[in-house]
Parts: sequence; C-alpha cells; structure tokens
Amino acid sequence: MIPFLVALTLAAEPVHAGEFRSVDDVLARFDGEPGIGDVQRMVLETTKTDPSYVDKWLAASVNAAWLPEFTFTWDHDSRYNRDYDYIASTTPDGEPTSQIDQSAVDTADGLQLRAKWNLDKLVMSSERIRVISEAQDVVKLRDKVLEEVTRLYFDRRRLQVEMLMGNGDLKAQLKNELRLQELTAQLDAYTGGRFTAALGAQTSR
Amino acid sequence: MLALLLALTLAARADDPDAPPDEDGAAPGAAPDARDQVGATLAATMAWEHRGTFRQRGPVTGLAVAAARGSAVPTWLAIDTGGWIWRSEDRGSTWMVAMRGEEAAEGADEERLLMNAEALRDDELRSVEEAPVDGVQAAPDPSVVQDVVSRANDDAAAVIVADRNGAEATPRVWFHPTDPELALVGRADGTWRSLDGGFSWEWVDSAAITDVEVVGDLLVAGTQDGVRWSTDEGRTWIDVDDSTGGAPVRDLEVAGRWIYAATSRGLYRSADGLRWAIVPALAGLSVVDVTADPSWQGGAWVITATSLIRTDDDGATFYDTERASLKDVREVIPLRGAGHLIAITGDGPWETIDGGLRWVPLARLLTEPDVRDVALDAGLPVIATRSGIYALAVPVELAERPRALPLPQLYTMVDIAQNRRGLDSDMLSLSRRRLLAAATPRVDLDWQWDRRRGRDADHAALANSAYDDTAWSFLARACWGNCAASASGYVSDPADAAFDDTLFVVGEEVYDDGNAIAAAANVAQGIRDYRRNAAAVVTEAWMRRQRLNQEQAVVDLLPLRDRVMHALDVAEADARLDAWTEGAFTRDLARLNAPSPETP
Repeated sequence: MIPFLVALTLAAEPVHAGEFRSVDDVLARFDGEPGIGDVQRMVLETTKTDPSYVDKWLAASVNAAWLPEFTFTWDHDSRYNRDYDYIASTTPDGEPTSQIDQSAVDTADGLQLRAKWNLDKLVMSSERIRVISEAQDVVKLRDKVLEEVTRLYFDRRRLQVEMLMGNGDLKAQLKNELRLQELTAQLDAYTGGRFTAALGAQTSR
Repeated sequence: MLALLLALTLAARADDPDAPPDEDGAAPGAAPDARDQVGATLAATMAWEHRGTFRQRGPVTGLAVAAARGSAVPTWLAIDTGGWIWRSEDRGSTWMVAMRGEEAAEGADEERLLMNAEALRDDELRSVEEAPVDGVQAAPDPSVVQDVVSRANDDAAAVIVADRNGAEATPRVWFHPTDPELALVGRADGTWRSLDGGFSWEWVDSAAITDVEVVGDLLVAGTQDGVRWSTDEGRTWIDVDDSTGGAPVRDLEVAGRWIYAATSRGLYRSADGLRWAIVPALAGLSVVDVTADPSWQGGAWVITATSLIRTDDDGATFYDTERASLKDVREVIPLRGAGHLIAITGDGPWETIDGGLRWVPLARLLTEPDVRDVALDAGLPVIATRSGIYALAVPVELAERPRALPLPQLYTMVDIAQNRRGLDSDMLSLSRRRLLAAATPRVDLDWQWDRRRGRDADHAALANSAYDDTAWSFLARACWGNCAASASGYVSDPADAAFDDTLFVVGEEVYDDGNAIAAAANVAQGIRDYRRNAAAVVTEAWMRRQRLNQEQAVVDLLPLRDRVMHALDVAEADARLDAWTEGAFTRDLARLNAPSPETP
C-alpha cells in the first residue's frame, strides 16, 4: 500500500509546466516507473501466456510420441503331480488299495518386456490437436490482455502528463487522482500486483 | 461568383510554386521549408484533405467533433442544409446517415417554395452567363457553368427546406465538450438531442439551437428565438425572459467571467447564463461571433459585420486588431499556442501566429473558400465547405521528408503476427499429414524370457529325473493401418479394440480418435479465422503508426504538451505492434534506423 501511495504522490506532485523544455524532460519524470515492455512481461507471467509456454506444449505433444508404452509381465507357474496305481487287494473296509506310481514337481517362471511405439503420433495425434487448439486460445488470450494492458498503461501515462502539466481546479485534480488510482488498480489486476510492487521498488531506490 | 473566382485564385496560388510571396513574405503553398520564413504556421506544412461530400442532400452547414476519449478516434457529426445528420467514426473516411432531413410542415405552399428556389437558381446561373472576362462578353467555361449549376441547385434545395419550415435557421450540430455521447442539433424543425454519440435522436424543442455553452451544471443555448437554458442535459429547455428580447443568437462563448451572446442587435453578456445585459460599447452593432482568448484571462475577439475587434479587459473596452484586411470574417478559432489563430473568412481560412498582426492564407489544396463551419480535432481544424468536409493533413511530399523514420514493412509485420507459435496453420496441414501418418507404422518390440524347472519320480522303477530349461525370445513388429485387432496378438477381440479409442475435447466439441481429422479441420478453421483478425489488427496499428510517423514532420511546431502526447501515441502504437509481433516491430525499427558505420 505504501509504495502505491508513494507512486500516486509522485505522479500527483504539482509541477509548473514551464520548467520542462522538451518531451524528454517531461517523460523523464516517469523514469522511475516500469516501462510498457516490463508491464507486458508482468502480464505474460501472471496470465501464463508467455510464448514459451506454447513452445513447450507443442514440443511435448510431439516428443511424447517418442516414449514407448512399456509392458512388463512376470509369470510364475508351480505344479505338483502324483500318479497312483490301484492294485487287487482291498482294505478291511473293502476299499481298493492304492500305491504311488509316479510323482512330478514342475515350476515355471516367465518374464516379458514389451515396448510399443505409435510412431504415427509423431505426425498427428489427438493430443497434438488438443495442444494446438489450446495454444491458439493462449495466443488469443495473450493478444487480448496485452491490448488492454497497453491501452490502460498509456491512458494512465497521458493522465499523469495531464496532471503534471495541467492547471485544473481542485475538482478536476480530485477527479484525475481517482482516475489514476483506478487505472493503477486495473494494471495491478492484470499483473497480479506486480505493477504497484515495481513502482514501489523503483521509487525506493 | 466572386467566391468562386477567389477560390480558384487561391487554389492556383496554392499549387503554384513560383507564386510570389505575399505581403508577409509567406508563399502560399510553398515547400515545407518555407515554414522557417513564416514561423510555425500550419499553412507552411499542412494541406487540406477532402473528407466527404454530401451534395446529394445539400452542402454541410454544421460540423462537430466529439470530445476525445483515450486513444479512440473521435466521432464527427455533420449536418447539411436539408437537415440530414451524418456521422463518421473514422475521421471522415466513411459517413453514415444518422437522421434523415425534415419533413415538410403542414400547410406549406409547395408551388411558392418551388418558384422561390427556381428564381434563386436562375439568378445564380445568370450571374455566370453575364460575367464579362477582361471586359469582353465571352462564353463561360463549361466546367465553371456545371459547378455553378450544381451550387445553384443546392441553394435552391436549401431554400425549399427553410421555407417549408417557416424559418431560415442554419442547421447546426454540437457536441458536449467533455461527454462524447451528448450531442445536440438545431435545424429548421427545432432542436434534437442524442445521448449515444449521434446514433439516435429525439426531438426536444421547437427553437433551433445555434450554439451551446456549458456553464456549471447548465447548458445555455443560443437559438433563433433568444437564449434558453437546460438543467437536464438538453431534455427540456427554458426560455430566458430578459433583455435580449428574443434576438436571434448567432454565437455563444464563455470568456473570462462572462458568457457572451452575439446577436444582430449587439453583444450581450451574462455571469450566470440567466440574466443578460447588453455590452454598452457594442450596443446596436451586428455581432457575428465571439471567441475567448485562452491565453489571456478576460481576453476575447469579437467579430462584427465590418471588423475584427478585441477586448483585453472582460469587455470594458474594445480595439481594432485587424492590421491585414481580412474580408468578411465569420469566425476565429484559437489553436494551441498563444497568438495562434485561424480566421474563417469569405476568402477561406487564414492563419496567424502572432495574435493577428500578420495573416497567411491556409488554403493549400482547398478549392472552396466558402467555409460554413469549423471544428477542432486533436487541435487541428476541420472545416465544412460547400464542396465537402476538409481536414488538415501532412501532404505527401512532407510525409516523404527524411525526418519520417523508415518503418518495418507492413507485410513483414503481418506475416510475423500470423505465424506466431500457436497460429501456424502448417501444423494442421491435413492432406500431407494424413499421408505421412498412414505411412508411419506402429512399432512393437517384445522381449520374453522363460525358465522351467521340475523333477519327475517313477516309484515303480525307482527312477528319478530332473530338468531346468531356460529360453528367451525377441520379436520386433511393424504395423500399418488398423493394428488393434490383428497385428498385436494381445488384443485379438474386436470388442476390446473398440475400448482402445479415447474421447478428447477440442474447444466445445468432443471427438473420439476416429474423428481426429474432423477435429483437426475445425481447429485449422479457427486458426485461419484468427489469422485474418490478426492481419486486420496489425494493419490498422501499422497504419496508425505510419500516420504518426508522417505527422512527426510538423509535431515540432506544436506546443510541448501536444508533443508529449504525440510521443505517447507513438510509444503506444509501437507497444501494440510489439505485442502482436512478439517484439519484432521494435527490433526491425532499431535495425532500420541504426546509424550506418560511416556516420560519425
């Protein structure tokens, strides 16, 4: 809040218009504020619409197809077998008597590793179509917010120049002051508060 | 006829580089460097550019420019002699009808109206036919005759409209100085109001306004029937019953602590817009116009039927300012900068930069001296003449001066904007990719290892045996086409293969893998649409930057505040182009304007 008030105070500081000799003199009054390039970068960072994000998505949508689909299978089979031979004698209960003829113990282990590449997805895949669609939306969003922020930034700067060089009455000064706060708040909304933070940081240097 | 000849003379002088300098040493229509001879005049650096004609309805008599709102282009409103209101949102490049002309009042004598109009037209035509050339009666130039016939028809139409409504009101249009939505129009059938910047209109009063001033919360209007005021933004008007006595008001102006009303009976003034008193020094004089001097508290110019006079003491005394003999002065417009004025006269616009000591014609490329109204757009005058609307612009030869920086090519910027990451339609070039995808196999690699161990015992033979078998295999498989049901070997059931399809969402639509091509086609269409939009936006931004670049040649003539605003406009245009080209505009601009190695 304090940097915000400092910035406003700086912008609203009454200055006699006659002390400026050139355009550079006037604009130098705002050297302590972030430039439009800085503000645009803040917006891209806040809205996550930097072109590098699009690059990463598009690259990932292709590179993902180089990774195979792995399948690992382990198979264990254990068998135990006995064969009985029945003979003519019987038990006292009259049951036939048996004796082991053959027995077998059998254990089997199997490992299978399978890798599958869908190389056609290097060329076109549903994932890539979705990424391209999302990338297009990101570009649209980026254009929209940068247009709006650029307009706000220069509306604010023009107002600052008016306040610096104008000689309006108190009512007009109050109106301008409120408008300046409104524009600053709008820029903060787009930059996640970075704009005011940068104003404070550069003012305190 | 006199006006026409003067117009032709002015045009000829303006276009003749060999024309001798006038009394002030300024050559009308001189090359741009001539501004050094006459000081910072617009006349030396700018020329009139045609911005629209309404001859099908009659000449324009009223013109207004809406208050600036940010960087938006202000709305222009024009009204013609027929009462038609025209609206432009692109500084006169295109116009649309905002309201049609007046309907005939009931009981009008149509036959008398037509006879009046016809008589006027015949008079004008006769004046051309009978005009001697060098004292010898000769056949007039056919092109001149055609022009005069056209004008005569316009005047006749205007007379019909005025007579039909029983008044001779000159249609006027007015914008609120700070609210670009509020506009008023005065024409023969009364006053109309718009609250949406001139799109729609409502009739509000029977008296036609001629001029309006904002005084606190009041709107004070001059009408054909005295002064009126409104407290509700022009919805209702209250007649002021005072000493003006209902005199037709030609002009209203706030200057110093007074509001002045110019009438045919003299100059009236009021401190509050309600109580009016005549200015004693000008009582009985026909006053045409009053203009405040923004650089002198209490100063104002007053135009009477015969002279241009001035007061420096809030109307207590007046003195004649006109050293040069300006003829038929109708209006004076102060521009930015003390002493910088434009006078609208019967000979066209004239300009002074020393408060009226020296005047130079501001007539370059202006073929019509009969100016009916003037408004300011971004500090520069826009005028309505019989032949249409004109605005000042830097002529081509000035635009090509070396001062204008070379800009990156438009097509390069458009190409970059259209091919930014995410908008490259080549990513979805379906025919090529379908072929490539069909030619690309699915590859399976299988590695398998098996070990089998066991013991067998034969109890009858008392024999044992044991075994331990190990085996491995490797299989590589490539499959084209639908591999799910046949080639894999692990998914053999077509029903299982169906479950291999996945749904995916693109935009607001859901597709399965089988419809990927349709999804890609829709996405590609969306990209194409947006690429067109990007081209339009970048072109508009580049053209604005180009205009600002051309204006750079005359910006040094403007006051500091305007130069700062121009610099901000340039910076904003650059920032917009950078946003759409990911910074390429500024990079190219720096490269194009980098000093060459030979430059010391």
